[in-house]
Amino acid sequence: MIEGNNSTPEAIRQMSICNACRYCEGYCAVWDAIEFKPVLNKGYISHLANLCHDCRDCFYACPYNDPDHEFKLNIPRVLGQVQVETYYANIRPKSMKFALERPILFTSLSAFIAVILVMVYSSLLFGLNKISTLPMTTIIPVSLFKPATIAIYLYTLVIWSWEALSYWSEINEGKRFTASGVMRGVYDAFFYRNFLGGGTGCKVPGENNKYFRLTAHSLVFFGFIVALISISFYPNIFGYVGITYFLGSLAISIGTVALIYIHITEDRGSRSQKQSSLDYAFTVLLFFAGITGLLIPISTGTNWFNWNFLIHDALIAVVFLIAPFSKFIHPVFRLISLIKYRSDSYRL
Amino acid sequence: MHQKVIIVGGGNAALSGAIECEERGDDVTLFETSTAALRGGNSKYTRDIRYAHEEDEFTAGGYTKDELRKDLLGVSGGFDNPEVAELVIDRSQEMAEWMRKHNITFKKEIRGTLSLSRTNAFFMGGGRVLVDTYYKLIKRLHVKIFYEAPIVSISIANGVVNGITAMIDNREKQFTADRYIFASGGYEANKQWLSKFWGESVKNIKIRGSRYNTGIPLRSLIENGALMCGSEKAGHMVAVDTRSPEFDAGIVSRIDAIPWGIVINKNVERFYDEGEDIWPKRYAIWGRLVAEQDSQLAYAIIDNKSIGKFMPTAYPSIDAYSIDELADNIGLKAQDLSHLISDFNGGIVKKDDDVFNWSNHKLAIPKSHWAVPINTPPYHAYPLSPGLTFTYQGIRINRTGRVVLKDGELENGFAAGEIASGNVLRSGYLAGFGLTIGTTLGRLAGGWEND
Ligand SMILES: Cc1cc2nc3c(=O)[nH]c(=O)nc-3n(C[C@H](O)[C@H](O)[C@H](O)COP(=O)(O)OP(=O)(O)OC[C@H]3O[C@@H](n4cnc5c(N)ncnc54)[C@H](O)[C@@H]3O)c2cc1C
Ligand code: SF4
Ligand code: SF4
Repeated sequence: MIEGNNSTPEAIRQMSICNACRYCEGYCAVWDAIEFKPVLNKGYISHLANLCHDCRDCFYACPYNDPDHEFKLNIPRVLGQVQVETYYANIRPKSMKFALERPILFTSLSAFIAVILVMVYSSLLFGLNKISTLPMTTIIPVSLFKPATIAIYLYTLVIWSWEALSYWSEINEGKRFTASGVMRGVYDAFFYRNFLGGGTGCKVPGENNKYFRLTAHSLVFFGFIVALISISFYPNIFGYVGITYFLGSLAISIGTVALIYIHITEDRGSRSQKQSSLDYAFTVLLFFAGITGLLIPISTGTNWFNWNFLIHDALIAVVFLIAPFSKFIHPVFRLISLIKYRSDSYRL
Repeated sequence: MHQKVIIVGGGNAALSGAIECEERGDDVTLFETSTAALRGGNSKYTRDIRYAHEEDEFTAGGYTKDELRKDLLGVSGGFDNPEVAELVIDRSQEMAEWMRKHNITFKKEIRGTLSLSRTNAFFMGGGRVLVDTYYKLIKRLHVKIFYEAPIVSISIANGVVNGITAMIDNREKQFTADRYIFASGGYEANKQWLSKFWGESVKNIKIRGSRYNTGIPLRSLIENGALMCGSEKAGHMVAVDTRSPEFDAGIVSRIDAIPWGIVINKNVERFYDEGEDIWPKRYAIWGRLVAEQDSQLAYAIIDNKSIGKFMPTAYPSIDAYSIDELADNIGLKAQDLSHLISDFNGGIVKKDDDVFNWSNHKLAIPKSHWAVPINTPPYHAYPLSPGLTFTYQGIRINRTGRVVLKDGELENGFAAGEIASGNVLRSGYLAGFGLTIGTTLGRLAGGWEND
């Protein structure tokens, strides 16, 4: 399947057929949102694309998905393509577009460079042999750790907001968010309302699955949040904090392994390939971040504790540094679309 | 090869029959003429069921047997086989619960189709999910399924089915069984058969459902002396988009714009009151009306005000900023169309603010409701063709589900679903009742206690 760079016309063709059908109503927010628009346009298709989380319920439900049927519908794939194209169009600064086009190269190179930099930096400062014996707080003093993490978080938030504004101006139709729309949208995102597919689950990696991806995705999502909160206690990352950090990392590791398993085993034809490689690159990065996080308590007291900790920090920094140029655009755009969807429906 | 039960067909009626048989311990072999990917006949294009019920969680209120009977008689004018009709009405009450027990998920709330929210229950995902769910189930129940295995003839002697012939890998193969259930639908996809009634014009008729419903088993039963029932010529026909494929467009090709505009044929003549207060009950008359026009072609024309008032269409409308340009775009005489529309706009009487009460009775063919002036560009046109949903004629059965012959009945042969729907609906159609006929009669044929 060759993917062009403008899937919007094809998405409009396919979704117009859906709009005349709507049998998929109830599977996810897309099918509620489409009811507001008798005639679909580019901005609205982008919005719908970011409401789709590729559960494929609508693919398996469709009597028109056979390659021999004139309609040739594959909604998750075409919306996945449009979704990636909204990342392309709204990435900021625009020059970073190449990161989305070559996600695996970009991600692995970033991770590699960061790990080397941290190692070279600490070796130059303290000497290669000393690193494993010095206390961690000497290598990364709190006075460096705190401002550095805050700076990185701020950087990520600023670029995310820049991109979010750009995406919002593409889809807003001159309307605004409402307060209840924001609350409901955030609620939907956190509690995976749409993942449940109206009670029928999520058919990934195959038609007979239900909650596999929901489980994997929420392990990564909540694991990440738990780890993020825990690490802010640095350098007190032992005891209770150590346990929560360990659990967070464990969740990320298991979740990413499951997501990688999905990536490897799923039916290729039903997926946007661009979307697929974006996912894959970032999941693998998160996997290594998770595993090195897991090793922190395990390696405590050994002489590779510091090395692991440094590599882990480098990877986490990379996660945040490249987040706005990676699959991590997805939570931002999805949240915006969920809030728009909720704001639109409560205006009625 | 001898089987316990043979089921011919692979739609809702066949599957309901297969489940019922297996749950009673009778092994089933099922013959489906389509490929595995396109299995499920017309059933894969459905989305709701109509059934008598007290208040339940799937609908917006109760619907009594009397109401259901009245609605059925309202569309069909009378039952060809009251005994079977009553049985279906009565047993429809158990249907939603039975479907849920067999893994069908119903929607809790429905939007959009409010006129049906009390009488009909909608299931998640529509008919494709319905049939796939049943196929998964019968696979677990060890039903043997032959795909791409059309039944080409049925042999009957002295009131007994002696066997069937299936085409498998281009070779005829005989099968016998203790019991046979014929659930192969109508003959709506058999254009040669349809040309008996429609002549040449059959080529311009779209078949909304499965291309596989050619009615060969039905014909074989008729040739073997089975009694027919249901109106012969007619079928359920609606107006669909001319650009849709010849077969298998399902629900999406229908055009709902008609009451909001005017409908003209190739000669730029209106031919029926678009505003007749029948929508949505008998919107099906528009299929036949279009079929009677030159080239079986017509156009619905609306202006921009009306967009959003009816179900969106699968294909984009043909648009123009002036009436002349619109006429050019669809290849009609611009002058005629301009005249027609100015006559139409000129004679509109608005009784009050409700567009339902806007009409134009000055025209040779009046428009009695929703006469909204066509004056707000861009203008939109939809090309219309007749779209056949299904044929009415089928096989007469008795209250045990057995096929009735000119002399007696088939001891071991049952018919269920569309192939027998003429017993209940001689003509006309009530939304959601096709599945009800199939599920109840399919289960009956499968051995559902006949008390
Ligand atoms: C677009 C559309 C929408 C509809 N919506 C609804 C709805 O919402 N609710 C509702 O109740 N009804 C609806 N109907 C009507 C409904 O589809 C039918 O009444 C119902 O599906 C009939 O079920 P069946 O099992 O008898 O036939 P079908 O589902 O048509 O099954 C017939 C089967 O027989 C097979 N077959 C045909 N010939 C042979 C042969 N020679 N050998 C072997 N197998 C053969 C076919 O491949 C098919 O599998 C709709 C119909 C259409 C076209
Ligand atoms: S995906 Fe298929 S079944 Fe679902 S709404 Fe679209 S056309 Fe209908
Ligand atoms: S794939 Fe799932 S999330 Fe995407 S549109 Fe279809 S039902 Fe919705």
